[in-house]
Amino acid sequence: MEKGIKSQVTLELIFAIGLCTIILASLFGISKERYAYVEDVGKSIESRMVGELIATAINNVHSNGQGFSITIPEEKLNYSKLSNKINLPIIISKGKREIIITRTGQLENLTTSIPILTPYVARENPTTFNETTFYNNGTYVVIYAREDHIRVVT
Amino acid sequence: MRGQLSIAFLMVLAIVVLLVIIIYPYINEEVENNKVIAEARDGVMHVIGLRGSGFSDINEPFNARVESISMKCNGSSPERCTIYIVVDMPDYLFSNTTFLNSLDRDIRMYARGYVYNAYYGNISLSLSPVITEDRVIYINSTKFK
Repeated sequence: MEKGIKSQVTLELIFAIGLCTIILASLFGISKERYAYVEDVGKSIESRMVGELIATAINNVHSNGQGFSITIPEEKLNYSKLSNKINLPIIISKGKREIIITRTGQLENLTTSIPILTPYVARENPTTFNETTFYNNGTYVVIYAREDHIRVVT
Repeated sequence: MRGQLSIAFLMVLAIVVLLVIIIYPYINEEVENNKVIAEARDGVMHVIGLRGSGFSDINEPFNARVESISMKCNGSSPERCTIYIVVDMPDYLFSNTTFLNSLDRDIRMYARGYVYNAYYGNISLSLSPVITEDRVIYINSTKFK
């Protein structure tokens, strides 16, 4: 091996590394910013979907009459995971006949509401039924859920 | 002879450096303009994403698309720039002027916030223009089509 060229780095390599670093640094800056707003929008869509899911359950239980029940399993409505996305409890307003979802967004507090068919909604602690079970008792659609998960207001 | 640089290489290097020095202000201005427009677009897309997912006055999801974002500047010290935003909206929403006014306000606030971020590193939602060392940037009312 020729002496004197060991462990040398060419000027081209230094330029190439420098150029790559500049490009990667600028790309990282862009993607980081975009990630933040895409995540915010994504969480909003998920929050809305949760409201839609609960509204659909209430409407179906109401429409199917006395004795009908639906349970939303934990895989679909995991409150501990949900607490990272929306402000719990989820509010169900009987007077307005809507489910109100609020969340603390990246830049502002956000609220949306999803209409439901009936104002006859009540909440019970999940003792006789599993968490997040919707049961039509003939008068009310009873939601079996913890109060810090779902709250029914007038 | 190792480690020496040829005259030709030095001349090429000198020409490149000279060219860069001459065109740097133009490149710099263009880069700044592109960054401002890109940030404004991000802001508009952010707010359209939020409002479009149902977090708005109408409480229902809708589709909207950023048709174009452009910026025109004139004057100097400070240079006055205006950002023009065009958003493509579904026809059924055009009759709801209250909603459109509210959306326009939010779009301008978010666009302003993101443009502010381009200069100062944090998003500040407001309707006032972004004032920099040599520029005042206004966000024009959104054109819905």
